[in-house]
Amino acid sequence: MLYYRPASGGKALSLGTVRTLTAAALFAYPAGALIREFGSGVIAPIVGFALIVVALMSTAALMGSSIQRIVGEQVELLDEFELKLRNRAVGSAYKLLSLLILLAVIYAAIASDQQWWIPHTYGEFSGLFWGAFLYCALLPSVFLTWIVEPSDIVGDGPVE
Amino acid sequence: MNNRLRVLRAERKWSQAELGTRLGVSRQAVNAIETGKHDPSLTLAFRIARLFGHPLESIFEQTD
Repeated sequence: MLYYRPASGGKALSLGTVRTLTAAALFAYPAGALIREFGSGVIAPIVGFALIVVALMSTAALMGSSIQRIVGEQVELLDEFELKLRNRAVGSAYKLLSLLILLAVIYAAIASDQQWWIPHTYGEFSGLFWGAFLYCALLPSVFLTWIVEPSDIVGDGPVE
Repeated sequence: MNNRLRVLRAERKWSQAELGTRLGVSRQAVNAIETGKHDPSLTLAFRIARLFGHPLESIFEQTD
């Protein structure tokens, strides 16, 4: 339930919409954070903030969707097909998240020696925290959108 | 695994959603079983057999 806002079976969004929203959320947030941190000029903070807002709005739209329901709903409220989809998506997301964590640890180990950027301020740690939260919440959904076919989710496919 | 779920459902003029409700699963699950994308658990297979009043082996057929 952590990553899902219940909405009676999930809001019916098409597969194309969900793919667009997940891609927007996962690319816009880090892009916005990087531009805010490293961009120069008066326009960079505004562009960075706008990208972060896009990411958050995309995430908010996804939170009540039928795809996110499969990822985040309580186990006993899903049927066996939905659980099968969830297990595949979460398994793949776990592998990618593990890789990202390992890369982050390696980067942190090297960065302190090489004088590369590492977070220092509350704002920088806060940005990293919410970015990590976003990826934890949405990575399974990203995989799910590429596993399923339109007829597998609510809001798509022929109803016979 | 092949199955005759779509035929049996059509005979009763049930929609996928209606069959899903009777079985306690989603329409998407019914669609996945009918199209062979998902093999039902033994529990669900028995529920399907009981609902249609047919023996299990007359609805599901193992393929090599």
